[in-house]
Amino acid sequence: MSEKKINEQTVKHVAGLAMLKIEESELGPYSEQLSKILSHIDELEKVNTEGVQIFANPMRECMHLFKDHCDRREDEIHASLGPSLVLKNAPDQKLNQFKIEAVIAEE
Amino acid sequence: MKSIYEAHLALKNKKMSALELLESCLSNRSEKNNAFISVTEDRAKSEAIKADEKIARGEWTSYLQGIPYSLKDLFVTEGLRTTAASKILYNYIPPYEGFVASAFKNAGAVLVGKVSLDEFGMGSTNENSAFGPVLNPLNATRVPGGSSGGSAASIAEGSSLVSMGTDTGGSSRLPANFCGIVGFKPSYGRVSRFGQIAYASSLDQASPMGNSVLDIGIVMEHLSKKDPHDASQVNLGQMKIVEDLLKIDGEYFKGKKIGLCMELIDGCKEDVKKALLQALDLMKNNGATIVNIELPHLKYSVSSYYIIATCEASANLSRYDGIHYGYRKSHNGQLEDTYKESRSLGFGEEVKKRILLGTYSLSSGYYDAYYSKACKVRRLIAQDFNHAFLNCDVIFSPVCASTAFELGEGPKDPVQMYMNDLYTIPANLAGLPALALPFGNGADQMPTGFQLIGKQFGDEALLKLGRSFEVLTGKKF
Repeated sequence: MSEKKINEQTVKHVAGLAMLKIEESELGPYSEQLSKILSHIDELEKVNTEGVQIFANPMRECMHLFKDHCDRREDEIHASLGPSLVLKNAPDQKLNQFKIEAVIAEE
Repeated sequence: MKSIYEAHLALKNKKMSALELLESCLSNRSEKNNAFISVTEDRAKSEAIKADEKIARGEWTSYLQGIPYSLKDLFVTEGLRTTAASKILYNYIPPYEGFVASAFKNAGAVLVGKVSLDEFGMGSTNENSAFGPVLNPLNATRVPGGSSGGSAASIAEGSSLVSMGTDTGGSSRLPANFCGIVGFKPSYGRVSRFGQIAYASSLDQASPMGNSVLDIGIVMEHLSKKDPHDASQVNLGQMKIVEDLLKIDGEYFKGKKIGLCMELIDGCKEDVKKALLQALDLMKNNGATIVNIELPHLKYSVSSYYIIATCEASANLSRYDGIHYGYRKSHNGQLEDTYKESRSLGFGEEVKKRILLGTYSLSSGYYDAYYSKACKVRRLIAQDFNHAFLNCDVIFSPVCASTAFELGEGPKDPVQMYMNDLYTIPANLAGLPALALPFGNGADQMPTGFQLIGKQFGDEALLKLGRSFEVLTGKKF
């Protein structure tokens, strides 16, 4: 694997991907903490995983044992939450819709 | 009155009313312990009165009827604030009822309130709550464990007789261990996750916590119903276990093979190790055989978990954007800035750290090196367990190397903090059931205990062994 330490530039880039705002003063501490964690996680490199399939979810591993128990249902239409319930927690709303900021920046 | 079953007998024999039982629990609640985020006194009184009316008519729907309980504030309750102990959901009132909340309500239980946790389930001390840390009722200088610290504290202080926590990497077993109670993580897929605020979807499982294995069995009968809202829940039929648990005695250990990886025990402090060895002796003296097993990849569990869990969390928590619900901080009239401000001010430090770690691990150029690699190691860990279970019925393990930590004294080194979960994480990675049982005390008089890990979907067999152990220690109800 390539260089593990996450520098401040990388923290800023990843924060952008994660829609988080990290203050300049916080970049150093985050970089240090995340680098420490990733340095420890480097130990996984030592494990021989050649030919080993990914295990992403326990349910996919037992489908062959329990396929009769994993039910599917017909795609039937049922009532879902109405607009008033859905909007009940909206921080801002107008005309029965969520009101949000501009999606397109002004020139 | 400490257990569901004991309280049930008292209600049935008219030794007390459900309202009196509730009032007794409410009087046990300590503000100082800070176990609760929301106390639902009015609703609880109304539910207790309804329970008493039914009892007066001779109508019994379940053992849970009239029993005071608490819910970790990760379980969505219709019309009742659900926060995940986060500022970002500080005012969120769910428009629907989740499965767990519904199961308890329909059983006629009495909701004392929503209890605290480490924010979004991320932590092992319950010091990461936006509503302040929870104290261990047994010693106010200690943590109750996490992330289901509020659940454990509410039982230990006596403000509820049972609580629903969750367990993603040990979050019900560790606080159970620190507070001297029982915590059970079912097999992954045994209990519906509908209405359970997600942390890591391939690891999360709702976890009953209580004062006895019998009580856990009572709750599991309700939780094991097939819920059409969760396609990842396997339909194995509703568990029918309470009558069996009532009949179990110490004889149940005869002929049972207990898998033991001694190096796990050797990693514990001396006082914890002493209690673990005494527990094993008790099992041996009652007919069990100890079988040495190897779990060669277990040492990589923490690394594997902290990649997988944070990757999944980064995806699950992307929905909190200040738009549909929760905390919003508008900024400059620009949408993307609003997302960033809302999330950055709404999430706590530990949550942000884990989102960053997960996002990094899934990002272009790193996905194979981190996420894929961690998932392959996960398979090796699961295979280790499969191999071990060829030679034993259940695996014995510590829950934590020490008794409850001091408040605020948690290691500043994040890696050391994460290593606290070493013993509990493997069962989540492999999807196996795991039962934390209290046994003995440490040199500091704080509780010690151990866990038993069972075969996949061997939940009933595991609970029966746990029940047998508690009967051997003299616990009737």
